[in-house]
Amino acid sequence: QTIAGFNSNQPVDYAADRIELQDRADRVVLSGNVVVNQGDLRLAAGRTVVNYTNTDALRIQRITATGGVRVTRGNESARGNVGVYDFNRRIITLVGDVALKRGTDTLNGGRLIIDLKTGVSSVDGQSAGSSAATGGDGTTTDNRGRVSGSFSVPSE
Amino acid sequence: MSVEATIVRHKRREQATPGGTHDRLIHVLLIALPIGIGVLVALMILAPLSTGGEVSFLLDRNEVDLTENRMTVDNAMYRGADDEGRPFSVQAGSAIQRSSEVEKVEMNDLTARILLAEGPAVLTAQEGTYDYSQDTVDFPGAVNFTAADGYRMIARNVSVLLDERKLVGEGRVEGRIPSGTFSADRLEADLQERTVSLIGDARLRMEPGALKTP
Repeated sequence: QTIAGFNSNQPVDYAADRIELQDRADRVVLSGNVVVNQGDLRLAAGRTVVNYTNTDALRIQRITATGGVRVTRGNESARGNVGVYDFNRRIITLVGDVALKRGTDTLNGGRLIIDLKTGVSSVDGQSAGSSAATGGDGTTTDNRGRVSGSFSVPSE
Repeated sequence: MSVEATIVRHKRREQATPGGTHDRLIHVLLIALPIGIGVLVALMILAPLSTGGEVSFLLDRNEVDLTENRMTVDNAMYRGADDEGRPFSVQAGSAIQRSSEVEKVEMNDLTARILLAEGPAVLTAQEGTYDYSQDTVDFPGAVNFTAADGYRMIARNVSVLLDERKLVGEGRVEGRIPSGTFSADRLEADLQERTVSLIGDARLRMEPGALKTP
């Protein structure tokens, strides 16, 4: 159970090989081993697109990451082909050959939803279209929408 | 006749007698005045010829004090046109051009104005070097870009290509735009399209909730 109540209004730091700031389109395109840090949340990906609105104050709408996404927070780390961090609903959705590791427990499946408000991460089978379609890195274990996981009971 | 009248008449007779005070005065003047005229005439003739009062010197080219600034201009204003024929101007509090071969002018308190689609935009900086052969201005320090609608960008260690309305930066550049602060090895920004390309170890920091003005 990771700590709940993540504040999505903390400053967000990006690092990448190349960043294209497109102010008129209210968009930032980052490419080349992109690392996004916000508080203790870290998202690494091949390419990300950040959409924001800047009418009176800056509000980030969402971050779309592709090209192999890895999200780590506290002792929880998740991996997937494509990820979307929705700042308004404060959830991170990973799709495509998803693997979630928390401590020693692992969970695999088609789609993972990390709810930053409650700290609950849920994996479900249907991967919104076959995981391969979203440009996964080839070796996808297509377990026909089933979730598999392994949990270790802490031995006293 | 009254006593006073006779006294007055006696004094006048005394004065008029030959050898009296009046006569001596006239004798003196008879000699002094012509001498005075002679001296005056002599002075007027001789004075211009004498070189005593004249101030003159020989200007020796080697010993004269040389200034190293080839040309110093205050409130300098340079005008030109960008590649679409729109005018731009570069204005400075003071401008120094080191030598005529170098077509660069070092400027302080610099203001460059360009024309964009939305209207005039201004770049201001403490110092900059304007290369009028290529229409570029290099900013060692910070430059403030303000567009007609209030859009602002601050960048450091960049140059502006006035005729293409672009900012480019080679060394480590950093800056700020409304959506955040950035830094990178190289920068290319299109002032008209308001796109900023950060290349090489690019960093960006966005602060949600930060007010619009950078």
